[in-house]
Formats: sequence, structure tokens, C-alpha cells
Amino acid sequence: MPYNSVYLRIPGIVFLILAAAIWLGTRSFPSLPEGYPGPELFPNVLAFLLALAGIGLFWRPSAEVDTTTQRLRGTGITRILGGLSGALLFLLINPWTSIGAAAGVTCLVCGVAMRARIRAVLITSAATGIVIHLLFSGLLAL
Amino acid sequence: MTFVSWESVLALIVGALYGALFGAVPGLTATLAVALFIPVAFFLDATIALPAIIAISSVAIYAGDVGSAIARIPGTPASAAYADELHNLSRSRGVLYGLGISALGSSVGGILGTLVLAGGALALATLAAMFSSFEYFWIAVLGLSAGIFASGRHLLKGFASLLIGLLLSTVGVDPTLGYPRFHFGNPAFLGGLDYIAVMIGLFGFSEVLYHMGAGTKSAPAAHASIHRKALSNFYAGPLKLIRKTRKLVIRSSLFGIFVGFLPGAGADIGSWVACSLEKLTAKRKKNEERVVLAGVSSNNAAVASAWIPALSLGLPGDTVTAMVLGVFMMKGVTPGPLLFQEQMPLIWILFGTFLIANLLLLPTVGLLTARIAGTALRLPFNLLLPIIAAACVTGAYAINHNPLDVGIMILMGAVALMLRRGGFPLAQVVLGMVLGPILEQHFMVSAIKSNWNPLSFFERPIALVLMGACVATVILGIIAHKRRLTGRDKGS
Repeated sequence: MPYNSVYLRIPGIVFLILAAAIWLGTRSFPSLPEGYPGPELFPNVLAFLLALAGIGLFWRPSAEVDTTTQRLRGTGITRILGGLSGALLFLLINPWTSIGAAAGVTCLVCGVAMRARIRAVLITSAATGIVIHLLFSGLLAL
Repeated sequence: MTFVSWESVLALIVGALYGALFGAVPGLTATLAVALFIPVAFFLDATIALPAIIAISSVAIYAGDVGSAIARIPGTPASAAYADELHNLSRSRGVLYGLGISALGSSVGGILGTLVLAGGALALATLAAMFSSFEYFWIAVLGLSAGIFASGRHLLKGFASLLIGLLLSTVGVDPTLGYPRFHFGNPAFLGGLDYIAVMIGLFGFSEVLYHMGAGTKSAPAAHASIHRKALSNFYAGPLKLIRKTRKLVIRSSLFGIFVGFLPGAGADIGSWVACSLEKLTAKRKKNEERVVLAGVSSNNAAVASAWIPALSLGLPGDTVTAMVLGVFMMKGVTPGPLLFQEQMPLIWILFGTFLIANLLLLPTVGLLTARIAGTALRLPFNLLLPIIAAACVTGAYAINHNPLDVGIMILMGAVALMLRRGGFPLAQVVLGMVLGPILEQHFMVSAIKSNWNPLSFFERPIALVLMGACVATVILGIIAHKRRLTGRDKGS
């Protein structure tokens, strides 16, 4: 299978799975009196359309993908997972610190800055954390 | 009651700067800016509080484009319609030029919206009152069909992106029976997904992830003359473009006005239809300037026209005007047709403020924000990347102070990375999320009140006109699509 078509066939399969999951998930939804469709109607119509789109993407994957983006290899995917982990770290740190979001953001920025090979990692991340804390907690009182 | 007092001038200036800050920071919106201003408005006179709100909302809507220009993060769903074009334009022609088009286009749209507000508020409000669920349903369909055909060569991908957005909009309590759908046992999902968090993930965080993965060390070179010839780039160039494309600006503003004055429809559909029409009818391939101009003029025209039903019928056109109605009540002013007879001085102050906000504040505060944005773009890319990451996380968290929004933002960033690689347009996901609830609610209301008679959707004259517009969009879209494919074949 050509590399490019993977990025269209996989979404096609995902769409088909999603359509089936929605259809199954809406079976327990209540109907309106006299048997008219209720909350399940819109998701079911979407499931039908998703299935059609999924079949279309799977059987006729367009040759054109976004050529402006580079192909990601093993290390690239690892770095992306690193970025995702950094952001998830924010969720872990956020409830445990007295200054809340700013500390989580400082850690995230520190990680991304290290990855981006910035020399002054600590200064960059600390400055970003302080600015965010001052802006949101101080100036805007959010 | 005097308009030119030092307090009111100060309120306008502070309101504009405050609006610019909220518009430019991802996650902060014009609605949030106005909401945080309401406690302050309680202590101010109506002639100061209301102009300040106008300044905040007008400038914040424009400043939402700053994120698009710097980091492809649109501030509102309406600005998602032209975010790619504005970002590319800011990179290729300079951020001052890109944001100059945005500020001056917004300014012209806002002025046209104000003139309509001043000239025909009562007549338009009467027309808005004739809109029922059938018409709203067709308007949502019009917005969705415009979104599909605005997606470029690959209609199937645009359609798929739209379906993802529509699917995300089904999370939460359904509009018919109030039945909770797809909430996975988490009460936080009952209110639905926040589209701002989704938008930040789709556009902003995916960009960070992509550049981390690809190991990008420098961004595509920004236009060198960011600070040189500032006045020429920000004012002269965009003004020349607006003069050259005045028909487009007027047409797009009219779209914005038309949708803006319909309570609940919002500015988003107008902006999407205006951009889509420009993309479909474009004779040249490189029409980024025209698409941005169409979107921004429609976007800001709707800000003014959203006040039409609020002032003349007491019905909010959007969330900002809903809060404005609260301020009216707080100050003992009752909105409605009598407002135009009993409170004429206040009405003139509002019209005057809209004109000042669009004629003076947008161009001046616009230049200030564009210069700051220009400086941000000159930062080394490896320094900009962690700052964008921080802005994404903080922006998503600031919406509701809910870590769940950060989780949704992260997830959408990862999904967007896959979608981008497959060439799926991202803006259509946002459009689907925004229009999904409008479409479903008005379809269900129409179906139930007509006892599920499908013909009832075609019986009302305005509904028929809107349906005709949908059919015209589809036909125009198919013709344009075929023309694009033929052009591609010839090109190859």
C-alpha cells in the first residue's frame, strides 16, 4: 500500500468503526411518543454519512495528501509522543501546586524548549510561567 | 446626556485595548471580555458602559485574527473560515499587510453594519421576527454546504471533516428530550465540548506537535519588511485592495449583516458563506487577500447587526448582546420598539460609538496589535514554539478553569496531526461543531411542530428562498469543483 494512501485508508476504516459504534451506542436512546425518532436521529444520520465517507475514503483514496508536511519517521513520532506527554504532565501537575496552571505550563515549556534546543531553557520556561501567572492570576484575575 | 465626555473617551480607549488583549490571547474571547466587564459596568452610567462594550467586542473580534496571523490559531469560529489564508498572507506579504487587511476590512464591514443598524433596525427586526425554525434550519444547511465547497479540491475530505465536527457537537444533552448522549459517564461532558478548546487543539497544538516531530528549526521565512513602511503596509496597501474590491466587501458585509441580525445564528455562517462564495467564484488561484477580506468584512458587519434584534425587539443576536440586554435592564432601560422613541439620545450614542470604534479604534489599535504580532513573528522559531505550546495549554485551561478542556485540546491536536497529513481541512471541523446544534435543534423543532410532514420545510416563502440559496451553492460548488479538476488535468 503506498505510504500516502495510508493516511486516507486509515481514516476510512476509523470512520466505518465510528459509524458502527454510534449506531450501537444510540440503540438504547429513547424515542419520541408514537415511535417518532428522538435523540438518536441526528447521530444515526451522521453514522450513515460517516459510513459513506469511510467507504469513499477507503476505496478511492485520493493520491494527494498534504505535501507541505514532512513524512514523520520513528524519531519524529517519538518526539510527538514526547510533546503529548508534556501536555499531559500539565494535567498531572496542575491540581498539585499552589500556583496551579503556571507551574504546569513552566514544565511543558521546559520540555518543548529542550526539544527545540533553546540555550536558555530555564530562563525561557520560567519567564513564560511568570508571564502567564501574572497575566491570568494577577491582571485578569481569572 | 452628552457623548463627548472624557469618561466616555477613556472608556472607549481602555475598552479597545482590553478587547485587543482578550482577542489576541488564544482561549480568551470577546464574550469572556464582556462577561468580565459586566461587574464593572454595574457602577458605570449606561452612556459609558455600553460604548465600552461596543469597543471591547469590535476590537476583540478583529484581534482574534492576530492568532491566525502568527500561529494559525483562529480566535473565533468565523475567523477559522479564512485562518489559513491570513496566515499564509502574513508569512508571504508581512504581518502588517495581513492584519491591515483584517483591521481595515473589519472597519468597513463594521461601518456598513452600523449604517444598516441606524437606517433600518426596526424594519430588519420585523423581518428577523418572521424567521421560524424552518428558516434557521435552512440557514444552517446553507452554512454547511458553503463549508464543504470551501474545502478546495477534495470535497470528500471537506465533507469528512465536517462530519467529525458534527459528531463532536452531539456530545452532551440533546435538544429534543434533554437526553445525555456520548458523555461516557462523565458529568463534565453533559454541557458538550467547548469549541474554543477544540479550535486551539486543531490549529495551535497540532502545529507544535508537527514541528516537534519534524524537527523544524526555522519557520518559513516571514516577509522581511515587517517594521519597514508600516503605514504603507498596514494602511495604504489594504485600502487600495478594498477600493479595488469594493463590490466583494459590500457583498460580504451584507452577508454578515443578514446573518448577524438573526437571533442565535451568529456571525459564523455569514463569514463562511462569504469566504466560500469568494473561493468558488475566484478566477485566479491566488486569491488569499480577497478571501480574507470577504471573511473579515462579514465578521465585523455581524457585530453591529447583532444589536438590531437586541435594541428593537429585546432579543439577543449573540452572547455579547445577551449580556448587553442585561446591562440595559440593570440601568432601567427596556429594549424594544419604544426604545427608539423614548431613548433616542442613547441610541445616537450607540450608533456614534460603533462608527468611532470602526473608524478610529480598529485602525489605530489594529496597527498597535499588528506591530506586536510582527515582533512576535521575528522571534527565533525555536523560541516561538514553546511559547505557542504554553499559549495553547493556558488558553484551553482559561476557558472554564477545567483541566478536561486541556485534555480535549491535546486529543484534538493529535487528531489534527493525522488529519493534516491526510490533507483533510481543519476549519470544517469547527464549522460542524458550531452549526451542528443549530441544525439539529431547528430540524427537530420543525419536524415535531409539523407532525413530521417533510413538505412543511418547503412551504414558507423565506424558507424556500434559503433552500434556493442552498441549491445554488451546491450547483456553483459542483461547477467550480469541475473547473478546478479540469484545470488540474490541463496543468498535468
